[in-house]
Amino acid sequence: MSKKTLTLMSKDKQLFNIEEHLAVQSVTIRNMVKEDGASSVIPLPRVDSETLALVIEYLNRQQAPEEDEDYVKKFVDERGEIPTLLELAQAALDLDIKKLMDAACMKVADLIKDFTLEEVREALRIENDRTPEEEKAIRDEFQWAF
Amino acid sequence: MEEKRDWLQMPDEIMGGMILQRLNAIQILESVQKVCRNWRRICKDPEMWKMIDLDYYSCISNTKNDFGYYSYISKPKNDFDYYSYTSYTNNCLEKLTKEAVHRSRGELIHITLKGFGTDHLLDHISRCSSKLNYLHLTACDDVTPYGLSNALKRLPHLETLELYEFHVPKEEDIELIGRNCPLLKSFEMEPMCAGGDVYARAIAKSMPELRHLKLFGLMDDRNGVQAILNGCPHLESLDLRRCPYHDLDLDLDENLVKLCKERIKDFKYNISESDED
Repeated sequence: MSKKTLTLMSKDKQLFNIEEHLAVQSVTIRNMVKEDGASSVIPLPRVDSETLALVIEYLNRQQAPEEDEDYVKKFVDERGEIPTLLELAQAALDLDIKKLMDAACMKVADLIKDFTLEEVREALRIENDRTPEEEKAIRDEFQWAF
Repeated sequence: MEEKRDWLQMPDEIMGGMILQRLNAIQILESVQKVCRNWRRICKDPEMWKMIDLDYYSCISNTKNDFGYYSYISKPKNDFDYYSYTSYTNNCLEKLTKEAVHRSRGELIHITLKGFGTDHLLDHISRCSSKLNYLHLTACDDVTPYGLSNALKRLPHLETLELYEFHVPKEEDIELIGRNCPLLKSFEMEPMCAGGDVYARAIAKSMPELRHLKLFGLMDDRNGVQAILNGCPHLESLDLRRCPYHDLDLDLDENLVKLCKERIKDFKYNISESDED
């Protein structure tokens, strides 16, 4: 007897197959399956194919429940790149896979823990969007020194 | 190239609540909030400041400063010697704490201070944070038992109080703590030196709601244990082990130990017997 398979589509239109009983670890997918049987392709317009491949890899894990915590940790540890982890966290949020999201967020926090301001901006590819006036206001606001 | 910046649109409860909130308050105030407008907005949200954990020793452990110490807080003047640097750092931390407490807008429920802090700071916290539920102090040398019990007057919702490396309080200080915090469910104390057995009476008299009590290295006699059993009928966990440098375990007779074990789910009094934590 073959198990039922679902097809997920990333935002760059790549298709991924996954067995339904594994896919429903995602609460979002579980709800879709409940509602309409999810016979056709499930589009994930915010998740790119690289990230979706990771999510699928995670959902396909074959871990004993008692080793699961360690597995999730290791899984995010091996993807130490902050942008990858944030994409993963975002995807896990959209798909409502709590364990994966928690682990990815915790790993990001761990990684940026000792970063300076510039290192944070660089690692997360965030640009400083403040005007010089706003910069000055912040500097004035935080005068810890006497 | 593919744009990979979707995470900037992440909901605040993820970026703020799951990631940035995990960072040290010093790092949030000194750098995270300066990253961009969005992060600054998130860092002003009282939700970010329900739990504050500030540790003098962790704040001097980041980048190496001119003294060969590590510090998040950079040295403002070149002619600072070590002592002025320490007091400068203390002052900075005090201001940082006030800013963090200010941002919580009265929503603070959990605070840990280690290695710095004064009666004045505690007073300030208590005036702004009536919802405070958990207070932990380690090695806050400038917080006196009197200052603490005074501040607690304004913290009627406190359920957990932990005092480590704390000035030896008097019996009446402990009683006042109990009276000021009628909901206190968990109390841990390890003063800088053992202070005898007077605490048991004060605790028994003033903290009837306790579920968890740890008096590290404080108990001297069995009367104290008996008083606590009588005065705190809801206790589920009682830890009376002595400090490791004491040679002797607490001298309790078998009947009393039996009684304690019957009444209290988790009873520890003997170092050799229970070293799991």
